[in-house]
Amino acid sequence: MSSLDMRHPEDGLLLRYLDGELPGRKARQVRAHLEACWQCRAQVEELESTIGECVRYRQDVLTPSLPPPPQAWRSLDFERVDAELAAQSWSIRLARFFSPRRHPVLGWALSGAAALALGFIVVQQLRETPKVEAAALLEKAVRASQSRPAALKRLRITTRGGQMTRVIGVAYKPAARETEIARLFDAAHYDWNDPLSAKSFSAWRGGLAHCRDAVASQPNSYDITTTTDDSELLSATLKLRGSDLEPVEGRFEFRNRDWVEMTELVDQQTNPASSVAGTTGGMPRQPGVPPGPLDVPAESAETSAFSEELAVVSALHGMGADLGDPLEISREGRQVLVSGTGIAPQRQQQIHGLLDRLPHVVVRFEDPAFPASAMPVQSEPATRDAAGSEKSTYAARIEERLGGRPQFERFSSSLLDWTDSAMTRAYALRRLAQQFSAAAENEMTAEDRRTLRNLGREHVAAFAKDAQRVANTLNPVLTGVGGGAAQLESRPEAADWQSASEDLLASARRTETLLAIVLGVAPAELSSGDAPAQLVAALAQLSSRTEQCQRLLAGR
Amino acid sequence: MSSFASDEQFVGLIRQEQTGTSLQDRVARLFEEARDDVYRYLLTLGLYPPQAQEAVQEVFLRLYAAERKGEEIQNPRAWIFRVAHNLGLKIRARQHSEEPFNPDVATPSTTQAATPETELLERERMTRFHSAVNGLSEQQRRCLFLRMEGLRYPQIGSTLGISPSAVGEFLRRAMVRLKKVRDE
Repeated sequence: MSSLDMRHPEDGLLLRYLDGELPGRKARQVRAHLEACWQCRAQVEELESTIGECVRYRQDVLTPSLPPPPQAWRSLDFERVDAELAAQSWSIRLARFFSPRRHPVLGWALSGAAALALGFIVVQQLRETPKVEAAALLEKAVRASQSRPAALKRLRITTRGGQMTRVIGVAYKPAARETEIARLFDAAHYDWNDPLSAKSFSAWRGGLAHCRDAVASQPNSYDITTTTDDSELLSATLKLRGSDLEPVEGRFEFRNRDWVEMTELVDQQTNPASSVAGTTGGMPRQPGVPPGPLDVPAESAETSAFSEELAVVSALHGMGADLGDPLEISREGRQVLVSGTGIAPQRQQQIHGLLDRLPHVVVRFEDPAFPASAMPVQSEPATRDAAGSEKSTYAARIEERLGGRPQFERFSSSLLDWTDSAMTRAYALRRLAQQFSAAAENEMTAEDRRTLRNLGREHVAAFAKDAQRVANTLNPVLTGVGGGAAQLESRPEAADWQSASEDLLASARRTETLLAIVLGVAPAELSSGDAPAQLVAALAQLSSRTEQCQRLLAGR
Repeated sequence: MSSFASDEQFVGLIRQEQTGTSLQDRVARLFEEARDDVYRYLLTLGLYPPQAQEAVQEVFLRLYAAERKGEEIQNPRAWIFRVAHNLGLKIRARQHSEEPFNPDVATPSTTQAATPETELLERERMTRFHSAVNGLSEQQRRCLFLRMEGLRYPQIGSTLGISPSAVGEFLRRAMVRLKKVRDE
């Protein structure tokens, strides 16, 4: 084939050419074509320029922004590995010597005891150091706190459902909404009256029969993390300020997968009695987890405040800015603050034009920092023991069923596009649910509630359309490649559309992962290996959760 | 291409003669060269800094142990990233943590731009670029980050458990999206 006969290569081929990933003959064809074709050469330059941006991004943004290692690099402990290898070889020789063929009973008993002793020594060595360090540090922190005069402490407490503020140090009667949180801490024997304190942490830790500690030294603080299986509280982390060892942050993870984070507030303007639910906005950092019992509702937010926030959300929705634009809506005093980072100047102008006329709304784009949005998130530890052969078998079977590679690529590309579009809606709906919790919705006027629900309904309708396309396209094909028996996971019905939106997102993410496995673009993480059947089940579940969302949004 | 890769017999001979000490020197050198890259990659996987740092040490010690046991490792850098990736996922799975590490990524405080205006423009551009990288799908981002670390398609594929052609497709999609941002 001459260079002139060759059709313009696609982007993918050009990229593989630039990356040196094409076999020799094909690479020569592309090179010859490029020599003859200005248009494709320009395309190559575009690609190279984007590659250049990636390199600059890694060098100038990513590398300097990521935190440096908390400690100076230690030299590699080769001696440890040598000792382990020697021990292995020694234990192998020992095992051979005492092999059952030579000394049936004694052999196993002795080699087992030797292995146990060796394991015990290694584990002890690994565990002792941080344990001592953590205990000493906590003791110092407790002493330091006792030497400080008693003072009021304000804590911002965040759970999956929202935020609240608590004042520690005054006679305190827990509000009704805190009962759930308090119960969790009580069940774990952790003092809820003063949760962000070295004393409470230490008391909890001291009551554990088994625990593991980790201490991380940061430039201005220490993080102590204790994990255990002995308590309802599986993991607790306390950040101690370096200068006076006062706890400033804490994170608590419970067996039922609820979590609570607390931060000491130094801003005296914060109204201790107020709480603002769902003002965090932005792309949720850990999607896909169904809501627990800890939804903290808004307590005293005024109806008009919701109205103003809702007006902002509606306006942004009108221009499609609620579908992935990195905008954050929060409340600062009486104002609704819309902040955005990474927004193109033209888009900024559009947003200003739209929001500047709304009362009490401030739009800020001047922040030069990048959004604290999700760094690459490993959605699910999907590559454990990837069953590559099964994965390729699914894709091969589908390809065969569809009649060839080009058909498969079209099929796969359409499915991935629809899934992308559906996921955008699922995230937008969840974001809306986080912004306006069920409790917040109860405080709204009837008209605001209608507006809110219309927004939600629109997202679900668009989601349902894409999800239906995916199901219609996939189901007939999957039944031919083993996807038959659909088993639905039974879950209690969500109480409100906000909770249902979490379930929907979780289900959508599951479906997306399974789809990628079946199409051969992600490793199979399923132990059963029957990904097509699970995908059929996931699609059915997705459909039922979509209906549930629609039903709950239609209520009232 | 180095003589190591071009002559298998020679490689075999070197391996036989390689004492523990020379191997230690080689792994220690590689550790110095690549530890920051591996550490950064583990952070982007969602590991917290202390865990990531521990994991990096562990990965290089595993490399040493593997070579001591006579395993032939053609491309140590790719091997290290593959092992780091799998170890990183295991640590994440053990974390019980619902949220992976999620750092604030910010523009550098000092740039070499000629004027404040060009600096501002550059920052805006990189901000948009960062948002676009965050908007990529999980697999696209993984492929992109590993490619940025210098891995070839088959090596990325073996790290992520996907085929080299799937790697090509993910990278193509990523580049199309990033190109769009650049053109805005």
